[in-house]
Amino acid sequence: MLVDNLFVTALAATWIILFYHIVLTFGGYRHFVKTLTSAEPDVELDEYPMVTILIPAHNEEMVIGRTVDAMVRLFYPKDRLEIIVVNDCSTDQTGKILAQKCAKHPQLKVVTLAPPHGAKGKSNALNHGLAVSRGEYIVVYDADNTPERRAILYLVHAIVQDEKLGAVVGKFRTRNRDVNLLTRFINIETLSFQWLLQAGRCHFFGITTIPGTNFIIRRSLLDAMGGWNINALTEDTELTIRIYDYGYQIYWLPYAVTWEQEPETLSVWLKQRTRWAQGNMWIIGHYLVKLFSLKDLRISADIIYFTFTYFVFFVSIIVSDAIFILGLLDLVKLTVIGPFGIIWLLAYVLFIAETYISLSLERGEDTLENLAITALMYFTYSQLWIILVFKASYLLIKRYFSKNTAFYWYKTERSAR
Amino acid sequence: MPWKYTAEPLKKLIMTKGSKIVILFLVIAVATSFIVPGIAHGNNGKLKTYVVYDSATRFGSSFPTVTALIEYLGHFDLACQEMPLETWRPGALHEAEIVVYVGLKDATIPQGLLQEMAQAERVIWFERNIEQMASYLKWQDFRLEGISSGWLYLNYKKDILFTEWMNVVIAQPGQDSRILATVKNVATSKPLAWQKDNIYFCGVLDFDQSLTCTLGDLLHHFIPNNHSPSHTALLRVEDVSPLVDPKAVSAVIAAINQYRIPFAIGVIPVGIGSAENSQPVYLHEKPELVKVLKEAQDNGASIIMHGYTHQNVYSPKTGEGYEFWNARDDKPMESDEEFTEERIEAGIAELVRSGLIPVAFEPPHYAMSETGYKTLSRYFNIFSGQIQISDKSASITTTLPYVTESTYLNGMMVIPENMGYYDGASFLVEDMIRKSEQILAVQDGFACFFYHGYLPPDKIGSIIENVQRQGYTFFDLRKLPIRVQSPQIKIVGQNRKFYVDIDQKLQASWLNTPTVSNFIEKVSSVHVGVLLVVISGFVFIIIRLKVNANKYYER
Repeated sequence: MLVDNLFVTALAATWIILFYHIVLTFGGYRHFVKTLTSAEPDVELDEYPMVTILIPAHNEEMVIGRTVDAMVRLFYPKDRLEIIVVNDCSTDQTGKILAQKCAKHPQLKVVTLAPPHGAKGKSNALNHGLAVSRGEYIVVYDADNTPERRAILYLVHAIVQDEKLGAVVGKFRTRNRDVNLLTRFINIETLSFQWLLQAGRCHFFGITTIPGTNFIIRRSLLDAMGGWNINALTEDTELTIRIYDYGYQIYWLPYAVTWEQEPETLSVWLKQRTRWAQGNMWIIGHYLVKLFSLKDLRISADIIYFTFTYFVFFVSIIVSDAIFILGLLDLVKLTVIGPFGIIWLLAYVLFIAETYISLSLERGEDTLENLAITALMYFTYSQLWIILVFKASYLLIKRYFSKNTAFYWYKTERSAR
Repeated sequence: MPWKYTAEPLKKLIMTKGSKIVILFLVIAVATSFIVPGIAHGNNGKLKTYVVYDSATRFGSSFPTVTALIEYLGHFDLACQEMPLETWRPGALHEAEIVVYVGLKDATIPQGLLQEMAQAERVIWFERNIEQMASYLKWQDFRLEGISSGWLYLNYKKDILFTEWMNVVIAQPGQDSRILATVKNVATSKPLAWQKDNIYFCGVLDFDQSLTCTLGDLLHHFIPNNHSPSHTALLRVEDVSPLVDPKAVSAVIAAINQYRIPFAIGVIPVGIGSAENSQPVYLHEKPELVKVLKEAQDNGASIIMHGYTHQNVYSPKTGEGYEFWNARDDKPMESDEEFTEERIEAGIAELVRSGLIPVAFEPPHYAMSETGYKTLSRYFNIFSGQIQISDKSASITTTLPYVTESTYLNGMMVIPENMGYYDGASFLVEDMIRKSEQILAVQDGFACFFYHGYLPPDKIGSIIENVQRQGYTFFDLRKLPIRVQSPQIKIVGQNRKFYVDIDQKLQASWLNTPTVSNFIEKVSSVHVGVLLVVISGFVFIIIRLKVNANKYYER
């Protein structure tokens, strides 16, 4: 019967992904144990290479001041650190605040973009910043980030050790995690993503995705690649693929930590995530055809994983949810026999266990409150993803047919926290 | 208005003589209105009947005469209760509307019991000890002549030849009586059955062929009823199992269809051959046969479930073997109830799976234990065939000349089989027609015969024609209210319309090949096992992290 076949197929597809996550969970734990021993607080380098921090900023008056303050407090020789803020067509007080900071800190440089050179997206801003930079290594931070004092030190230390590394990615934390339920959800989600997906993939496959902030990249490589792709909506993921295609790897360094601000309202969150979903789906579309021409098959595999997640997994969830609802309404009847209720329950328990492990890998996060929120997440926050993919697909199709590829600053609205 | 102002005129009213009488009448009326309903017919219209007997069987015989009689009483609207003579206590028959007394041995009946019996609307008396009742009722001209045998005929509407040696209680009722039947010899004639006052007497209670129809019709005179005369017949195409040639069955059905009469088909859902360890052949595996049967069903034939395999380990050949009875040792099957449940449920499922709707059940060789029948009555409400009325032997059966609601079968409706069948050797058409002729004597007699589905159809026509010529109309079982239910299947039939409800999982197991659904189930179970292992691994990690928290988070 059709319903039975759909159900079983959906179940199988879903569980392929879930088993992959199980594997990643074990990998994440191993990565944690491995990196524990290598995190020395008083690490010293033989020599300190020149590092440029690039911070793209568009209307960031709420946060840019504090961000710059954090940057100048970084533990790194001042003469070897260059801080470039790219003020891209800001219409608020950003420019003014930056000017004030410049006066106080000679390390700080501001590149101001005006139309028609600016307002073409983060990639474009970064490329402009890159053009005037002197660093041997480039570190990128978002305008709301406040990295920990030793973050850059650790990132530099890691990348100089291994010339195969094209980039090293640090960990980002949620600064405003206690604001409301949404921020608590996001806090758990970001930890789960990093400790399971990033750490797990890094441990087993040496794959790490650049999350757009708190990462260091070789200047030489960046130049060879031609900088950031200004056509990519999620330029960080796009960069990741090209780094691997150039024969380099990326490592995830959990103890190089930055704190950033996450959306506090659902509408802001939805906009942000829709953009990410759109961006990733664009990348899948762009690279799926080139899959086997990529030099590093691991990144091809990773792209397949993403494709699977966004399309197959997504469709499977929709199908099994639909069968469940139609079954409740007695419109369809499932005739296959099996312990499916138990399997569903175990999926839930698995989700909670995996997430709780990722929380436990972070000091102070393995609380009962977080456990309760995780249990709630499964039915609420996690299901929003379905809406996201629908919306993103719709927008992407619209874009495709309207042939409007103009780029705007898809910027996340800030708060003061 | 204050109470005392109304009391005065009221008192005046009550005090007149006329009003006193009225009030008295009202009080009595109210009082009796509580009592009267109790006297009215209890048990939703059924007459409260007690069957008192001094012995359940005749001396030296194992045939349960009383049980058989009660089956015969099932044709009437009675609420029957057995009462062995020794269990009577004063007041036990207080509410009886009809008392049946079966006297199979000499016994002394307590005066109190005679008194209570006489107070019933009707007393139906069989055989012995009638003189005690006559004495109690002070019948002056009653004369018990004793028990005699050697009678050639009984005369009930016409002469009927006795086929067995019969001991008859001859009792002369005296004046103001009505003789209903007599026994005859060459020279003499004596009363066999008569009615005097509220006593209805019959001097012999026997279930021999020659007597059954007389008894069946006589009871209509003994027991109040509103049965209208009718003569109905049923034809059953018999023993159609998956081992039978569909073409043969098709030929028999075609022959019957010439007469455009309703008929039934006894279907055996699973066939097991005669060879050692032969594999069961399921009805659904024989699409050609299923096609023939479904077509017949669509054209109005009724499907009767004739057992499940019509065999068991003691008699292993389908069609020949006993199924619900251990024929080797002539005793009930072990774990009777479970055995019966399993087979009936499987049989219903197999028939429904093949698209057939069973409306009644017929046990192979009519052999089933009391437990078996009780179990069966949970599944079917209609029974076709003769009834085995004792767990002592499968040979102890009774057949009926009309449709009854059976006590022994826990309330199932019994469509009797009483004409036998044709086998070309010892059972011939003439024998069958003779039997149906006898059944005509019963005012609403029901005749039934069967014809094996695998035989050549050449004789079926003549049997049908003869039966019709005798005045019978063939009966459509589907007109009856049908209820067939198992835990997974429910069939309700009303006026030829059927509602079949099948459990989803069962239906699925028919559609999915066993291998696929088993595979999915196995994989899912393995899946669950793997997940449990994984989750334990995760719990282990969590515990480890918590235990080492200090070490990990020193910094």
